[in-house]
Amino acid sequence: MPDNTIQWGQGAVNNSIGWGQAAANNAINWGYIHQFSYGHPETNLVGATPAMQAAEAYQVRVLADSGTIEAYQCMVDKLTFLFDNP
Amino acid sequence: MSYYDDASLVLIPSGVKAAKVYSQKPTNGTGDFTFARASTATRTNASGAIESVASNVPRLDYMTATGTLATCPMFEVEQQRTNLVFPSDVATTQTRTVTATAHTLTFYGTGSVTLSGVATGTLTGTGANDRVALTFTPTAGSLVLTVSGTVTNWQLEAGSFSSTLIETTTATVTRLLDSVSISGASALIGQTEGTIFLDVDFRVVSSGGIRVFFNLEGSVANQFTGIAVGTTNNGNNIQYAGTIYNLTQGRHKIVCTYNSATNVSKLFVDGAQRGASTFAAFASTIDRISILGRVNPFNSFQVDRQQFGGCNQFALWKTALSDAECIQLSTL
Repeated sequence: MPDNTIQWGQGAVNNSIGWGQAAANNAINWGYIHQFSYGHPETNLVGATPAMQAAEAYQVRVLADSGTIEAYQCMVDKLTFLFDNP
Repeated sequence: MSYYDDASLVLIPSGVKAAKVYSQKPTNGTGDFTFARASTATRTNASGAIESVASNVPRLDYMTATGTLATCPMFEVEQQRTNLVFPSDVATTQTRTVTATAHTLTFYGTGSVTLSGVATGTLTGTGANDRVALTFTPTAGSLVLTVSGTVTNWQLEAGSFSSTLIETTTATVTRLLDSVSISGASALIGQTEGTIFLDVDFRVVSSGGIRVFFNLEGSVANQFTGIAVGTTNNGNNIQYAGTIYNLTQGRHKIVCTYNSATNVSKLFVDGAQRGASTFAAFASTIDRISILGRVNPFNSFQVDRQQFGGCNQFALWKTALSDAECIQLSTL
């Protein structure tokens, strides 16, 4: 969640029409670089979560070692639990 | 801080290559597991299709122990098994020599297989994508398997439950055991206190001795120094400091803490504490980790301690997490 208490920058989640969510809600990686390059914890307009950053670093390392990756989103989801708790 | 920040090792099965299962943490590769299986095997992929996997390549499998397709994969660990019928893709009536031990017959399709000779019974299929199973104990001798209708991907194996499909063509085929471990990993293991977390899909071993879920152990000379959590001789229980907790087939989350300062170790399973024990300091450095099995004195996986199961997650901390944290981590 955004790291502020005044609702600033929460437009991307506080709407039901997908406004501001394109970087996450598309299947063609539109906004992918932007998402990873300009994230700030104060908002969730853009920016990768710590779990997404860890998953990305993991994927880069595995592919550089000639390994294969699958179930990327599952990894992100499980990492999110570990990052968000306790 | 978080569970992730505090962990010394985090493994969520996602990346593999021959002889390796990659851990998410540490990020420098020192927590990557060595994998071995000196034969081909099969897995169920994300689409539900069965596909062959080359020797020494870990299997990211989506089929759960209870026969449903999972959304996230687990890395599969199985003991050695042999498919006695061939070819496996499309069944034909045949006679096989069997011993007087429990066997399990499985197949997909809507046909049936009728047993005669040294055993009797009929297994009837329920659908092209459904795997049906029949466990029986024949007398030693010739078993006749009479096939009717559509019977595909069939398997007859010694054992009281089925394992993943072993593909055959013109003869029986043996799939060798899977092993997953790290040696020289003392820096990742709490030497005086720690926490071990395993999220497992348990296949149920009904016999065959104690089976290990995870093991932290010393060097070859100190292999019995460490922590092992496994099953009883009955196979489907956790035995821990005299406390036995019954495990059913399927998914379970197991957390074990230990602390030599307080001399306490605790076991949590599926969201509740199931046991506690006194815990003395390790007699020597603990440097080896194995999942769903243990390593024997000769640095090879100990066959008679290996588990059947799928690992969904594995993690280590070098501190003993609180009871509340262990309950949260182990909650399904």
